[in-house]
Amino acid sequence: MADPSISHFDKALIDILHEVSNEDPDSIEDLNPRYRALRGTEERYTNFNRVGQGALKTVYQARDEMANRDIAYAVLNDELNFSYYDNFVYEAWLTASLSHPNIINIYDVGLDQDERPYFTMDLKSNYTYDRFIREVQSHKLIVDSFISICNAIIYAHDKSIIHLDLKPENIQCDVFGEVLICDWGLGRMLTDDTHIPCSDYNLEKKNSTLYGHIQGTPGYMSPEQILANDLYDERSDVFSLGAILYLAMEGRPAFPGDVETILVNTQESTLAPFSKCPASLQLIIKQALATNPDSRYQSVSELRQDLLRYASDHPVAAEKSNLLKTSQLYFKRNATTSAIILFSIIVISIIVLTLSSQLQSKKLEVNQLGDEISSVIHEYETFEAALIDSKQEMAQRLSDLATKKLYESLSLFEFQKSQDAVTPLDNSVILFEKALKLAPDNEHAYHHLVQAKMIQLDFEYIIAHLSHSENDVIKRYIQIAQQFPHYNFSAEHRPTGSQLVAFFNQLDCRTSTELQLAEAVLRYDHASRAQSKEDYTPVALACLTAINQYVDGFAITYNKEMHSIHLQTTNSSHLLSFFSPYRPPFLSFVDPHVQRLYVASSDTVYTSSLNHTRFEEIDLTQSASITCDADQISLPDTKTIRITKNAPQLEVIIRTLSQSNDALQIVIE
Amino acid sequence: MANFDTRYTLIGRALNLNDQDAWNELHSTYEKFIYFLLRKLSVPENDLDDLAQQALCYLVKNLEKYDQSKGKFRNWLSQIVRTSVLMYHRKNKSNSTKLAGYTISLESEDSSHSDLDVLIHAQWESYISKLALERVRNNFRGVAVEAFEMALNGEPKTAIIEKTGLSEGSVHTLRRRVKRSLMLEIKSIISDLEPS
Repeated sequence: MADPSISHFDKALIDILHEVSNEDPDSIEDLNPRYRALRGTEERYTNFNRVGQGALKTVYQARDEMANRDIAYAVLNDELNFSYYDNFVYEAWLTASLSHPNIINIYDVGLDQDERPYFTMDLKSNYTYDRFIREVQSHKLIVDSFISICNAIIYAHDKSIIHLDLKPENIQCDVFGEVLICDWGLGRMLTDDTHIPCSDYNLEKKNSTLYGHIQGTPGYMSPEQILANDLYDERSDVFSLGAILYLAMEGRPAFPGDVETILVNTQESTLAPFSKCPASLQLIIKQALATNPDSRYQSVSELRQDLLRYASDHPVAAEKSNLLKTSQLYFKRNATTSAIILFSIIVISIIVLTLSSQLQSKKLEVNQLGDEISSVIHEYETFEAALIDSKQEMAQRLSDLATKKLYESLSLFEFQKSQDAVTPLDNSVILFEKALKLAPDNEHAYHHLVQAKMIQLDFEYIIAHLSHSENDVIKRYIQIAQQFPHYNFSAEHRPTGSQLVAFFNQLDCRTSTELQLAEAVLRYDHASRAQSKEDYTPVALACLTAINQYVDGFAITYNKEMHSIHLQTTNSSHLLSFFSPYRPPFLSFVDPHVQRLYVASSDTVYTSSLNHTRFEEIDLTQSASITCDADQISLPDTKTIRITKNAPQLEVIIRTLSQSNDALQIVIE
Repeated sequence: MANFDTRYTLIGRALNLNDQDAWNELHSTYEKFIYFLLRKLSVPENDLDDLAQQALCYLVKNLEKYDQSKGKFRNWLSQIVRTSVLMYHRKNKSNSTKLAGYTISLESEDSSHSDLDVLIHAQWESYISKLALERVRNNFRGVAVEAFEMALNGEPKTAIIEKTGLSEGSVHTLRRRVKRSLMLEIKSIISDLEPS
């Protein structure tokens, strides 16, 4: 008996529980109708409708019951046996490896109940690119859609996959020009030479012995595909894209006629004459369709680049840019501005000339004069526009070369060839100056020029050519330069020792920017005085003192008579080259006639701070510890190094130091 | 019926994977039920904690040994409760006892037909469905659950429409949705708490 105290509410609730748990075993699936449908699916693919057949495969529209959508289902044709299985799977896997919005998607690859391979993919509409070209009137839309095709192919090429059968029928499209590259049946991995493709065309024409090995579609396939020499690469797809672009522009194929005519014309690059294609595009198409792959665009990216230039009214690379063309395009890009300027000039000229002609004589008709002048002005404008473009281009080239020289110079500082670094740096300065003369707003050139001028200590130039910069380093450089406005040094004209030291005293070498600058300036200075017989030691040591001005207890004394240097510090990191432990450090600027170095450091002494120095004897007994920060250092003239026996890791130190020179004696005290 | 993999149920995780969190949750859910039941049986407050702990301990210890082929979980559950009550009273020198008008003795072999078993059954089911209803409550906003509860109380449709201000169509839809959600929740709680 149920407890009479159970209320109506409780009873109704429990009834629901009974409904769930007892009576109907399917009740839980009723709660999950979609799950139930999925569970009940026996055949994944149903409702087949044939939508297309090639020589190799048949494509059906089918229902994917598990994903609940319509898909395209591809199978090998019935009459093809297992010898085709591998090619079929290759196509499926190749396509599946591409994931791009403009490339067809593979959903599923598998074996049917007869163990024959199939794959499923996006269901194509019948709307292909050739129909799009016929129906769409907008030139811009066609160019844009073609650029989308290029994007997809660039992506595939980037994955080393080439299509080899690009043609309008293999490009699905919608009315907005959204494209989908399909049919990768001839596609291949460039890195995989084990795959032997078989072509639809080949199968269709298997009786034709003449063209029995053809892989591709005549009219779109490249000459190298016709030769079947198997030397295909990305440029074969460039050719096909050229043929598609021709069709898109002219509305008819580039290579018309019967198959043999097409093949001959393809190999000779004999195109049907252009009739409505813009001249710049003609050049692009011709370059893409060159017989020799070396004469084509070398990649689809290059082709796209030129198309983008064309689309934005810039001169394309395929044409040898001439002044008239460049200026035409310049006017096209800046139509309004140009028109206003031109109009104003004409109006002003007319007024001036009208007045002057009145003053002189009335031999000439005013209007005639106006026409003549305006045409001259027009010519001038055209010339100037072209000049601006070529100026920018030249400036960029100069600046690029200059940058190269500057870096070359900085990297030469790294080795024992500091002298060789002077010339590239001076050259880079000349080039940057020229680049800036042509294009004063080239920031890159300006920044690098300031950097190079700082190294030369030519502050006069920097101040005379001040330009606004948001770059913090450049701002700081200018600030330093302004403190020595009369420094105008070059490789030939070097500052005095005290001028150099004054500059170093202004630097705060606790910041890496200024430490870098200090090092570069000292190197450049040292290198440009390489011919001088003067003792560089006092200059080097004064600079080193300036660099270490914020280090407590730093002191360096040079005893000329004793040929010795005593160095005392609490922070030895500023004795090192900023750039690398293998670069000559600051102590390497000391002249070779100085024979002894005494270092008393409460901080550890880094072995690299001694690298490339020329002392006969180095005494480190007053330094608490030594750190081997470079595997090997070079000490060609050193005969003795003294180390305190209390230094930690003595063995490592001895091992490292003894590698630097066979004759070296390490004395432990 | 769908064979829910035990890895996805609370009891499955507790028993098969020895998942401590699952054990804790299972333990506290059973504990609540046992207290609920013992109170229904009017166990004196003095004895309540001892008895409940004993029953719970027995239940948890023997959960693994439960064998579905020998009967339903709910029968087994009531057997455990009955045994615990008796064992407790035997310690207090009594072979049978009366609680809230029910005679509890070991001798009643045909357990599934005793009044006590019917009561325990009903209480367990009620406990589960109320637990489910509380969980469902969080899934809905507004008056959906309220309308559903009114229907459970047997209130006429017109009264529900009037009290909630919903249209007849909405009442119908909401009730159906709440019921579906409740059924899923009940199913899920059963699979969590009753070993299969």
